[in-house]
Amino acid sequence: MEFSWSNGYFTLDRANSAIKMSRNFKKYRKYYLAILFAVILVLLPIHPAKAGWLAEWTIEHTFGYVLFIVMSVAGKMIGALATLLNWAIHIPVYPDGGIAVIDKSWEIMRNFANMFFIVALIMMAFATIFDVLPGAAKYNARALFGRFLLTALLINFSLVLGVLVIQGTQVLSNTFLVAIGDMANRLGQDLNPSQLLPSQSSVTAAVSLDAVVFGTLATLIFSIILIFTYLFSILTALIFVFIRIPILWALLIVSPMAWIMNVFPAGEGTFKKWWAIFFGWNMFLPIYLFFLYFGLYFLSNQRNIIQSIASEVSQAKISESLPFSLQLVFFYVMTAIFMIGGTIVAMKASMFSGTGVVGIAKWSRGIAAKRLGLTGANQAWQEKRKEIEGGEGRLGRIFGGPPAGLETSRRLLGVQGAGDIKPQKEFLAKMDKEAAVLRDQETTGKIIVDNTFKASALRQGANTAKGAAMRSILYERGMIDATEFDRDMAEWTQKNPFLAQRMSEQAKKGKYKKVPGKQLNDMYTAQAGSTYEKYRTPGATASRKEWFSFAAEDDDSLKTMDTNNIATGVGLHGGKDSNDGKEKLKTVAKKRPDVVAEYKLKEDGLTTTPLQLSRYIFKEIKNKSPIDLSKMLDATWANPSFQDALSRKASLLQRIQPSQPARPGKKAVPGGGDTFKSGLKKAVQNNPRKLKIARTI
Amino acid sequence: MDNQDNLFDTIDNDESSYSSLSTEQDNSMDIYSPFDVDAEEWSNDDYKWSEFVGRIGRLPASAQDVLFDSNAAYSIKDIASNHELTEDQIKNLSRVVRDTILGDLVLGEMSSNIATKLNLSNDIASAIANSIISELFKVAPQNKTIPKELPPRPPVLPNRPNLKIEPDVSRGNVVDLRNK
Repeated sequence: MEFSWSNGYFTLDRANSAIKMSRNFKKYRKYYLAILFAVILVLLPIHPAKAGWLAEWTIEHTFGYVLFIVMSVAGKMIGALATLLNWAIHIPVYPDGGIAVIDKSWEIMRNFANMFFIVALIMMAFATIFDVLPGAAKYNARALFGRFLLTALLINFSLVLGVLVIQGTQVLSNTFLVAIGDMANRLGQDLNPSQLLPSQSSVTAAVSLDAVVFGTLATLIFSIILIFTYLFSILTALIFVFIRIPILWALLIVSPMAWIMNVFPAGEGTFKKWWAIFFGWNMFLPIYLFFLYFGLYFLSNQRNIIQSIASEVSQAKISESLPFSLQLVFFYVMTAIFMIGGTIVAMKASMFSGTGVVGIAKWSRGIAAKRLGLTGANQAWQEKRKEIEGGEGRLGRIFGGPPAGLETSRRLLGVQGAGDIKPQKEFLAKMDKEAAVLRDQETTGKIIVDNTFKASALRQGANTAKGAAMRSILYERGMIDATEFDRDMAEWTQKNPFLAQRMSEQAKKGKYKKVPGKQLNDMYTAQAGSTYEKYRTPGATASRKEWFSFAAEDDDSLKTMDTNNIATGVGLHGGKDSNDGKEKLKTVAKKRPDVVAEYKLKEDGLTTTPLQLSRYIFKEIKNKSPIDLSKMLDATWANPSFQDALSRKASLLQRIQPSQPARPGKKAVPGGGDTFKSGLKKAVQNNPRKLKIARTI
Repeated sequence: MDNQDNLFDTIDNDESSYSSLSTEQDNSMDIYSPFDVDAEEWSNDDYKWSEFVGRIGRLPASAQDVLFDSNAAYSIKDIASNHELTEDQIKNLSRVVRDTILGDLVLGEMSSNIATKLNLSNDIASAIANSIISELFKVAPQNKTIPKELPPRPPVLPNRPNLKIEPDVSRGNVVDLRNK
């Protein structure tokens, strides 16, 4: 169905748009009417006003009366509110003689709260008996008894303590109350917006123009706004000053319940919250009074300001100075800001953020300490203390001297001095903190250490505390693969050897799960010309030692370990004659005596012949039991020299203890070699290859 | 023990003494060992060898002891020499012992198995079987110590305490301790 003007019909679209326009007109009708009214006013013929005296008088007096009524009502209300506020701030929350309703109600609450001590005792008894239950440790007698006794004692003084806090804050309030005196009078005297109205004393051209232009504006707008601002600021303050009294009473009455909550770990938060609210409502008045005092102080000095503005304006020419009224308006706006701002700050700093009081105290303490140079002095002392503890500097040497080998280690690690070490160690401490937070988050189920976590960790820089902390967890879980390990270590050994070493320790916990043993061998060996030559730096030494220590016990690394690897690894640990080096050789020899024997043979400058090698292997295995021998790697068992050494050991044992043939009344006794062989076969019975070899020795 | 250590030190420090130690394989005892009797042949076939080793691995430790223990081989050697068995008969005797340990043959039929496999009379076979059982399988029954006395009876639980509430005790949940 198609409609168009051409065939004399409406189209459907045009009909719709007409309906829409009519709706829009309804919606914006008031704007259209306003525009129409303005247009009519503009187009009206302009003639000089010839209004009669009656019309003039009516307009002038109607406007004047409206203004008079508004100002008078607002003024009266301010007066009444100021009187009320003055009375309210002087009401003591808890007078000296006490308040019967509070005292009696508190007693009832205390008696009720006392019953919960029995509950606490039963709970402690159960938690102590069933200490194995998860979470019971928090409730057992050892954990709760101290708090239990303290609460049992202090619950009886909860009213006294509460009143003490009220009176303490009252002392603060009194300081301002005395200083302010009669607040209502002061406000009435000093707050005089009538000054904003035009006066007959305008003499200069500038004052006249100000009176005409700004005086009228101020009369109409600023004075009304200002007067209502004062009204609402005083009203708000009055409401809060009033309601704090019943709230504080209620808090005092329930104080025994808050104290009893402190016995139970789960109620500790409630107890703290009670204190926060109690402190907050107590602190409201002193904070508010401080700002009120400040506002009134500012207002009381207005005479000086008005005089200086007047003298400036009276001598000024037109457009040379800001008008009198505008300056005065600015002054009153500032006063209003102090008064409204004071109420807001008092509310924010007290009951709406219970800890705000503490926070502000800390902030102010920090600022004061900073200004006095205490922060700097404290930091300097902390640094010096660490220096002394580290055995550095003159005092460090006096109090025990530097730790043994510090200088040597520094030389080895390529560290220039404390200046380089400190930020690196600080970074480590920061990383540890971050890691602890992450672990807590994992425990509480906020994060899961999975591939998403890993992806997020890798996105973070390896040299940021968070990135390093996340990596630390991944290293510990063996979730870092060979390439990532090499990349991280290359960076850390350059920038922070301590971090590289720590991460290597973490990786050890994760058993270098995704790093092949061959790569690890190549990394600590750092053969010249190889990919891993980059680790042939002093900064990598500590990490290379860690890598070799792990490789010496890891089957995967030992499988591919050769004499070159051993020579480097033992060299890192001080050489074959050092205790550390000897220990490492012993460790490797537990699984690979053949490689250790070959290494020693080379170190002794002898040619590696099968017999020599067998003899050196024999030295390594002569005291080993069949069980120890069975734990040696397949690569070792496959070594002909090792097999030769085993045969010779069996032969020697047989020579030492030959077999005894059976004699009348005595059974045959196997020889030492026989026993050794049968023991060896039994020890390797689960490994067909080793068992085959054990049969042939 | 000290002498042994000294000898070990002497040997490994002196190359000629070390080289004098024999590395010749002594297979003379293989025929008496239930494990070694066919091991050489089977070890050439990886599949057979793995299967054999696997079966041994599943045996209890006491049975494995008999298979590998050099004392067992020496006991069989004694028995064989007592009954003047030939080398083939000795091998078959070791095989019977091995198969019995592995569970291929029944222990109770050892006598008839020996008679069949070694081609011996029932009397001799029975005597050999008795010797084998007493020498090689003696460990198991002896380890089982039969308790001479019955274990002490479990302590008799005392009667359940009387939980009846006395009439003068308040039945309320909250006991007002301050009045006590």
